[in-house]
Amino acid sequence: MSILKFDHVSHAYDGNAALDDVSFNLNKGEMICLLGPSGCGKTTLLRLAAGLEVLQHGRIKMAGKTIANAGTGLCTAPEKRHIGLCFQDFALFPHLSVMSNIMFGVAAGVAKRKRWALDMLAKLGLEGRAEDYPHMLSGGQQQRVALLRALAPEPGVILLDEPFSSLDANLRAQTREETLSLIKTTGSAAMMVTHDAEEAMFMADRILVINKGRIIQTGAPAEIYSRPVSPFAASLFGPVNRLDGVVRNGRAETSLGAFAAPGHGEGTKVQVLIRPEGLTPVPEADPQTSPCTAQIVSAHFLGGVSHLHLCQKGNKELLHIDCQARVPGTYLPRPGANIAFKVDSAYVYIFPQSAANSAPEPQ
Amino acid sequence: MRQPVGLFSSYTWARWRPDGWSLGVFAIAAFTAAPILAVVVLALTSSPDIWAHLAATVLPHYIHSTLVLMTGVGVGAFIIGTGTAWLTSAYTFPGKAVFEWALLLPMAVPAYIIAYVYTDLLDYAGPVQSVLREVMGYRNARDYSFPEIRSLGGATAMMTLVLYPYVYLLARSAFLDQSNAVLEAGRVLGCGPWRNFFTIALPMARPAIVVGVSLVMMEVLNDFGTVDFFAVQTFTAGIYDVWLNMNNPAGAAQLATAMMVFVLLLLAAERIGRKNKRFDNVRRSQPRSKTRLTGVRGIIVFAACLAPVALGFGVPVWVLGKYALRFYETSLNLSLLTSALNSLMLSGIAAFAAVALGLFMAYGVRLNGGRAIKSAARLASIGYAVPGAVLAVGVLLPLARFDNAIDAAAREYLGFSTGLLMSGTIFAVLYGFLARFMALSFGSAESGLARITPSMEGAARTLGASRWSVLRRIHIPLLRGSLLTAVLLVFVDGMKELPMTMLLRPFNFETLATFVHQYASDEMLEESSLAALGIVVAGIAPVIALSLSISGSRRQ
Amino acid sequence: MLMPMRIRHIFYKKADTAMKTTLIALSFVALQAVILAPPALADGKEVNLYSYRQAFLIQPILDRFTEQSGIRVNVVFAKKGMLERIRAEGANSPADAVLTADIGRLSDMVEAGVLAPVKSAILEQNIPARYRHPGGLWFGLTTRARVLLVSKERVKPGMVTSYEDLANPELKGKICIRSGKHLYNISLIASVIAHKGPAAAEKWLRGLKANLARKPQGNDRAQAKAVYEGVCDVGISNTYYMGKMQTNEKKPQQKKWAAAVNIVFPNQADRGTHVNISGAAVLKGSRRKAAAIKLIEFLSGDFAQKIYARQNFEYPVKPGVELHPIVKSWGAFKADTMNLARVSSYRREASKMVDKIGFNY
Repeated sequence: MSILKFDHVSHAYDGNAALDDVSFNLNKGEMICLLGPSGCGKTTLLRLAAGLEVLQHGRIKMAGKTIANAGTGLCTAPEKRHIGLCFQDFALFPHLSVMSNIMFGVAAGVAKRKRWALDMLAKLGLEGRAEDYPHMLSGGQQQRVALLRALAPEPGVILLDEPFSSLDANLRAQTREETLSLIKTTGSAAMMVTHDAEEAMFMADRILVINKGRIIQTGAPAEIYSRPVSPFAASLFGPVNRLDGVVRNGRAETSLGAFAAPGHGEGTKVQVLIRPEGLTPVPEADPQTSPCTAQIVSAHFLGGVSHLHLCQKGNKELLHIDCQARVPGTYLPRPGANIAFKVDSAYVYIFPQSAANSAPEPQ
Repeated sequence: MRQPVGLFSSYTWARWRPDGWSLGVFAIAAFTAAPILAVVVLALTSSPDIWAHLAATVLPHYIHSTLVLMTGVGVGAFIIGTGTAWLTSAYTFPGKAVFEWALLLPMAVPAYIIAYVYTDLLDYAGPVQSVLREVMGYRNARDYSFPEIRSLGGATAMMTLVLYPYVYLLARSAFLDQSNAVLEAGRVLGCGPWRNFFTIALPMARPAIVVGVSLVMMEVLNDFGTVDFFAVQTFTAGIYDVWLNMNNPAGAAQLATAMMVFVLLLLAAERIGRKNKRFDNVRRSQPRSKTRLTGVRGIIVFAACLAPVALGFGVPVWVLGKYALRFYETSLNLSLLTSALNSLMLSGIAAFAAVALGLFMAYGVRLNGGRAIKSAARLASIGYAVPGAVLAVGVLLPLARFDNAIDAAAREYLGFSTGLLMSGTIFAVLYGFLARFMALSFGSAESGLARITPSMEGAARTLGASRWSVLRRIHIPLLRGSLLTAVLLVFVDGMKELPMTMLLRPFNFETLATFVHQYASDEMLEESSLAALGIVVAGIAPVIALSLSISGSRRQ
Repeated sequence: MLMPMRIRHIFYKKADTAMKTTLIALSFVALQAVILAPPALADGKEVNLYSYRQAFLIQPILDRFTEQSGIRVNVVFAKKGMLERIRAEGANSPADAVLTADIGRLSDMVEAGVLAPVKSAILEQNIPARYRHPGGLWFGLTTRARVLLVSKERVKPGMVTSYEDLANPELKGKICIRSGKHLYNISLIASVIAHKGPAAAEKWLRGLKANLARKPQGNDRAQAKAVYEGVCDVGISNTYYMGKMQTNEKKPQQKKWAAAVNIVFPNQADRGTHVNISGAAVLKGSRRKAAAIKLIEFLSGDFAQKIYARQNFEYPVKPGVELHPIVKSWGAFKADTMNLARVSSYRREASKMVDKIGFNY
């Protein structure tokens, strides 16, 4: 079922390692996202897959056939790989019309694909724009044309390099929905590079978290979100509250309470990461939930949720227990007010102190 | 993003196997560099040592006047070329539409012709001094002082007037390519128009301007006609002296080689100087919105653009036209028409061939940017800096050797003589043109390619286009402006080319330039004026057509 | 400023087509030119000439030669590199004969060994021995004298009578000359070295340099002009430029320049005036030697000598040929009789001497 397979691939630019022993599979019909900060090597991975970069170490297979092998020097030319690539800057040909751009890679069944293209243009709100030129289109429209162009030759795999990064937030949400459904209807496997966790979770069947040229975690979005392997992986999915703690009686004790810390030795120092979503205000009267109290520093209404900035009362070193909470609904306390809140342990991740400072553990 | 190693994998199978593109680039480079290498080989043959003599006597002087002339013309062409290019690309003012192409016109005037014309005008018997004497009541030259045109300064002025269009052409296309947003960002950040120009537009256009200025400097280096006429003792004049007066061609080749090395070092220094800067990530956005200049500022800008056109083109054409009109019955004949046809044919073929080969080489370098391939391409485009007659000898040598080898082989194995197949044919002249003008076409194609984002190529490749197909379907259409510029440069330079045509041509073959030369070398300006005008006029049509087409291709 | 899309497309299409049409047309012209180029290997019906002299100067005579002999003459004219071309082409060179404008080039060719010895009674009869190579390698066709043009107003007769006088301190700031590196001057300096030895020659050249009114520049005519303008009193020039100026209808002001000077033939009391020759030679590799010799013989004959010499105001080498009236008006003079091959052997030394004393600066 594997349609694209990376086998111990390493790559370096001028001696600077960009990829370090990367192996993974992309299965038929699957959409995977490579998630990582910029400069982590994820774009290199796409370029190697597309054949725009000569493989230095390892092997790449497509549909069971080796297309690049550093050992033998084999490197199939990009035009012979049948892989679609959607560029971050779209790379639309400025001298060709929208239709000519889309049809650029179509070799057989031109008439049929043309009908398909017209159909798709209409579906994507580009009806009647087939003979326009790229510079006459808006960013979102250009992105759609770039996607259609990559899909037009019916590639076995489609690669997307930060395809939505140059679009504004509203447009991004809409466009990624369209893109996803378009790719899913064509049934081709897809691999997308992004640094936006929300985008990755939205699009991906599987996420590959990459840091410093290595894959540090693989899994379904929910899995990675709820069970990050390292503080780094956790922080990719949004801001976290970081607390220091010490394990006593199998629980990590922090200023926000104690949390079960299985697998951490008694007395070890740990780092406790809590997502803002894990802090929920509760009525102060309820002593059963053993709530913490804190003072509101600032509160921002964000539509569906409110973002609270808290600090714990009475502590001299205010900054150290500075934390954030995300609260659903229209709850918006005044700054200076005191609130009580509880911590949902599903949003609490505990790592040994050493992991917090050193590089994340490889998987 | 860093430029990846082996950006577009240029081979499908084994990594170590050389591919067609690299071989092609090496073949073209070897072909165009052969005459240059021949000069170097000639320099290595034993000869009476001239260096000790030259170093003790005139060498410091040669070097001094050459450097002064190069710097003077380089700076002059930079100021006029970049200044007018900026005015016509950032502003609208009365006459701007005409100046856009008119500023290119002086390029069609050969430097030695403008030198003759201005000497005619400015020397003692010319109209300027005559009027001066009339008005001031001077009797003869001892009564007053007038700047001598036959001097280093005069040569600098003359060459600047006809060479600045190289800088103008390249700077203008760079300015037109600049994103409006970047310049607007500058304005918003508090840069006035002057500072905006100096801190943003100018540095961004640097690669193009450097190409332009280096072309100008190479033209200065290979010029002999003007400096000879003005008695300026440059390095090139020294080369001819050693060759012809001391009958020491090998010594001349040594001097020429030293000059080539100097040019290569200069170019390398510039490259190192901008090594860590990248200029190609400029994306075209909205067409430039142009500030309208009116009133006094409009008039000043109008005058600033008019002056170079009037001095570099208007005056020579007026003088030549006057003579041509007066003496046309003696000079207008069939042989002039044949010469004109020959000129057009040679320059036309050379322009298209040079651009085709230059594009192939530039694309080959882009595909496979190895050091060896880059050096080969650089070597192949150094011919522009070699004095024409020396390069012509460089063409003679390998070509005749090749012809004689074929002849010997034919005699030995086939029993008949082929004679000289290519020496002394039009092919030999074209070969010379290619060896000389590859710098123009390769440079234009290379700088044009640098402005095309690599993802464009990646997109086409992943869509199934082969490298040939990418070149044909993506690069050539996108490079239209650059390639037309190159065609224009080679064509106009070809029309003016003299020493190579002279030496390499077949029997009874005249071009407009050789036609002009046989009279002009005897200072018979009148007899040659019609043909000289022919060179200029033949240059006008393509200059206008191509500059319209270039600004058209910008609008996309 | 966007052109409507459609129009823009048409515009480019047109430009493309125009370019293609031009290219095709040019290729046809090229093809035609190649086909029309004379075949280099024809037999006795033509002769190929490499010329250092401009074609327009010799064309009428060549036309007459073709008329008389039925031999067509093909010409390539170039001032630089002819010798290199001949050597590179080697045995296969299509060239049969060369025509030069001075002795220097002929000497270079002798040195390079590319000339063929010619034995011709006609040539020996027409051309005095000192104007041809002893071994028959080259033949002079015309001579020109390097003379002084002195101001009619400011120079008294008898004040300057020899090349040596030019170094006389009395003439300080009064002499004009073209570049010391020009082959006419190199030849003159070489003749001084040949006669007086290098040390004396250098002393003389330094003296001359010290007397210059301005940096050496311009051509020979420009020196007459400078005298006319009052820049200096004595110019140095070849004789024929006087003729050209005196008869210049296109630029009548040149007549005034000529009218401002007298011609002085230097050294009439001793060795005579330095003369240079234009000449011709047959090439070793020629396959049409008979035709080439015929051409040179024709050029040394009465008809050609008269036209050839008159057209450029030169002196015919053949004794008894009528001079141009203007040339005749300059009067008879005594020419330096030293063999020119010997003079020419000092050219390199002359050139270095010009460098050494910084003559041109």
